[in-house]
Amino acid sequence: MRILLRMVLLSAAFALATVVLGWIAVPIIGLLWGLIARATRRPALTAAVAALAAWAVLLAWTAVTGRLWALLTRLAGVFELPGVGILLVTLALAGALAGLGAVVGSSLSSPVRLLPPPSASRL
Amino acid sequence: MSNRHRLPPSGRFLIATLTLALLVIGLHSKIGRLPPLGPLLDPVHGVWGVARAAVPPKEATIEIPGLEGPVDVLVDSRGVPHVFATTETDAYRAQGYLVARDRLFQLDLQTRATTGRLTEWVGAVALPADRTMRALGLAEHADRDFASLDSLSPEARALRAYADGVNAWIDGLRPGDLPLEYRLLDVRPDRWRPEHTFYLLQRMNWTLSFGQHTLNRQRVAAQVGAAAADVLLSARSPIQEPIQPNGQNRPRFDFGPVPPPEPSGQPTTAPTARAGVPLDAVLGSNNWAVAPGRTARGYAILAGDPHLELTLPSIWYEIHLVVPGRLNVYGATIPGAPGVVIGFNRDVAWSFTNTEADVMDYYREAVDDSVHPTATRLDDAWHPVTTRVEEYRDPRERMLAVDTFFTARRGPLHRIADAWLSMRWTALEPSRTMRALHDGARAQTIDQWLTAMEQFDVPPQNLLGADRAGSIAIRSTGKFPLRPGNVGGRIMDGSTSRSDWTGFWPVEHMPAGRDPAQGYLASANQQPLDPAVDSTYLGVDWREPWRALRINRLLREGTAWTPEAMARLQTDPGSARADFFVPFFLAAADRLNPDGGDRELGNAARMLSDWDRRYSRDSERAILFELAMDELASRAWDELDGKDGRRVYHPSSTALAELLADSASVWWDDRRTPAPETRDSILGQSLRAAFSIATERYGEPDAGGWRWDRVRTMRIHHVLRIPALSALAVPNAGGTATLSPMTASGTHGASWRMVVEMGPEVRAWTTYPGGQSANPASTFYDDRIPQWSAGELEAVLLPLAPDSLNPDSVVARLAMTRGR
Repeated sequence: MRILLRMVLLSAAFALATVVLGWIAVPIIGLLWGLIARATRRPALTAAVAALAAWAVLLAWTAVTGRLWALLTRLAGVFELPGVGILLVTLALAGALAGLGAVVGSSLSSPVRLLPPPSASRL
Repeated sequence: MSNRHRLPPSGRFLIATLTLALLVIGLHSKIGRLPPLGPLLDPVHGVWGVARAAVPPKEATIEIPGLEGPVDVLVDSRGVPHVFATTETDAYRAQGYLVARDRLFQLDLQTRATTGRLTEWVGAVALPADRTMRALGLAEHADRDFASLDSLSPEARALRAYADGVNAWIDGLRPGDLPLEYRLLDVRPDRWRPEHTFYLLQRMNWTLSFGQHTLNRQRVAAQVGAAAADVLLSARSPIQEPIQPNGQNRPRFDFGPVPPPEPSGQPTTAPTARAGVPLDAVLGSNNWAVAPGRTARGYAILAGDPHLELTLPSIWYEIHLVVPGRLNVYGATIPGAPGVVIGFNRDVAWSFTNTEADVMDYYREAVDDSVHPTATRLDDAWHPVTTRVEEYRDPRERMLAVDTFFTARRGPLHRIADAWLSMRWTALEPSRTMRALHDGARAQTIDQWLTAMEQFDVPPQNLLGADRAGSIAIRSTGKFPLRPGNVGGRIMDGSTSRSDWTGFWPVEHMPAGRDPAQGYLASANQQPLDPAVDSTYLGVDWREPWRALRINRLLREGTAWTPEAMARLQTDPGSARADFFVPFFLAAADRLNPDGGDRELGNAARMLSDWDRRYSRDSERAILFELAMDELASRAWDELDGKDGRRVYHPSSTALAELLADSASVWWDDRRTPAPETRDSILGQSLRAAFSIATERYGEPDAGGWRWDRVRTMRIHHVLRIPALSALAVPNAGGTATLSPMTASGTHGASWRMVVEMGPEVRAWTTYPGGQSANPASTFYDDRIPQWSAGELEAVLLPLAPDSLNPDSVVARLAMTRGR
């Protein structure tokens, strides 16, 4: 249950940040998540799934309020890709940005470990 | 996994950071022709916003700075906005806002095209087009024209209000509202300035009146002699069915011999034809009006269909503007122009066709320096030449090219071969066209409308009107130069003022008709004035009169016209051109093949004879005739092939008709073959070749491959020529010279169709091949194309007040209020 709640909250954060700041917010939130959740299992995967879910919801909102499928048909022709392919690329983009951000964040969270070990001579 | 195989934290950090950085940079950058994918695929601010913008809110309140009162806008089920304002400037503000909402990219593109700044969006591919525009200096002239406008004049106020409306939309643009094209090009809209409307007018001038008659004639004269050139590009069309009725009640054929080709041996200084316009894409327009005495309900009916390049979005935008007691006008406007261009109010309806008049001359100038002129000589005095340096940059602001352009006393000065030619063109002189359109929309009688339209300077148009009192009138209106010696189409001596225009045609001299005895008036770009009535020079190489012949014939036959019948006439597939030429092919085949021994020719002739000469969509013979005509022209005019094998000019089918009347002409011999040819043998060869080509390209006849709607379709390109946003196979019941014309390229055709019945209650029907919205995800993007293709029109709604529009017909309602 806690995992689900965490996922919902994280997705909401990704969605809100995308609305306010745009796509560039996704790696930032991912990075922050990596910093915060370094102790949890697979923070990068969690971030990726949450960002993907957030963007899926935003696209679903577009499908409800707009003519998403009509646009997809046109875009498919413009980019010479299947319409569903463009959707998948969009969602994959969110996942990749968030996941990579979380990896960087979780690495940053232990800066001491990033430093090289002290040399013996100095000891 | 054991710890041995795990990356150390520092390695993991570095790889993840590097990958993320590369991904972010990559998503933020253009890669090849792809726009930056990050901003593009953003689900809120990116391309997906186009899907949301395709469904505008059903009810909305909008603040527009400068509004003087509330404005109500009701968008009907055809996507047409009905604007109800309390002042005229408010109506134009609202119009600017709505047009920007629906057509922002098109507005911007037109401005950039006229100013020659397309390279800044799309790079070097647009360099030739930009150079052409900047060489003519259209934008500079538009700026001067706007600057000279009285700022308190109604048209100046309209232009400013319209600009306010456009900019109100641009200023309120959320990232998600940005049209698709901006996202694909990764550019942002420019703000709209009032003078941009003049840019649009200049663009129309270039499309409609940038004639190349003089240079064409010079090329032909150099190739086959001046005498032949004068006939092939004649100032007197040999088929007379003029716009100004000449009382003859039938066309007159004034065919004479085409002088034999006699190469002059002189080099030509004429440049190549205007780039970018395929030869067969040059079309015209139709309009006609029938007086109450020839209509079923006793009201005047007017029909109009201008033929232009068909694009998505369309060149036209349909709108209704109502200011109680001041203005109630409905019709088609060009995005960028306040008001309505072609349309009607409660009292008068109007439509235009292009006059094709010659409003441009070239002068061979005497210059002080043959490389970099600083002055031209005129009557022993030197006049300064101004210089303009133009730089072309790509989207990254890298320099693509630099040009130096010269402007002499008469106009742009260009070096062509060994000569410096200046150009005088009425489009580069002060124009009152904006005022004409403004005043015309307020006319209450045909007389008032004609008076208002006296100010229509450029591009010259055949202005047709009909009023509620039952009057119909037409006048070919514009600045028509009066030339010394009453000749045109020649490069004049620029060193003397005796070569200059002596003035312009007075209005009372312009070709015109008013409530004629024949009960109708019609124009289809044919020679406006019968030279037997008035031989004052107006132009050369007049547009082929076949559509005019067909319209006049059908209008003469009918005595009880209805709006429905008028609408059918706009897509009548009959062809006066086929009626003229087919008998020549058949007679020649009979003479060449009396016993039927030549089976191929016999079959081709039988098929052509079976044809009803209509370009119906299911016709399986029209293509045979079209190919035969191509072959005939190719064989008949071989003398016009230059040394490089390219034809210096393609004479009109009117000239071909004239040649057919002279069976003994030496032109019939095909110099490319050793044997001497005759008219009949050329006709027979052409028909036989057409049959072979059709069989090779489309399969055996009657197997379905020759169907007209399979071999020829309209190609309605997106303005950026993106195939996925275009409609590239639209059937049309029309051919080269039918009333709904279609040529091999399929790119030009009836861009707007309108029928208006001027009864006590004005009724009107319209359509165009496109839709009101430029948003490709919108239901209004291309919704009218099937209807246009089927030749159907839709009744327009004409509410007098917002409440008089049936709520079921309203898809959106906008309340506009004054904003800060």
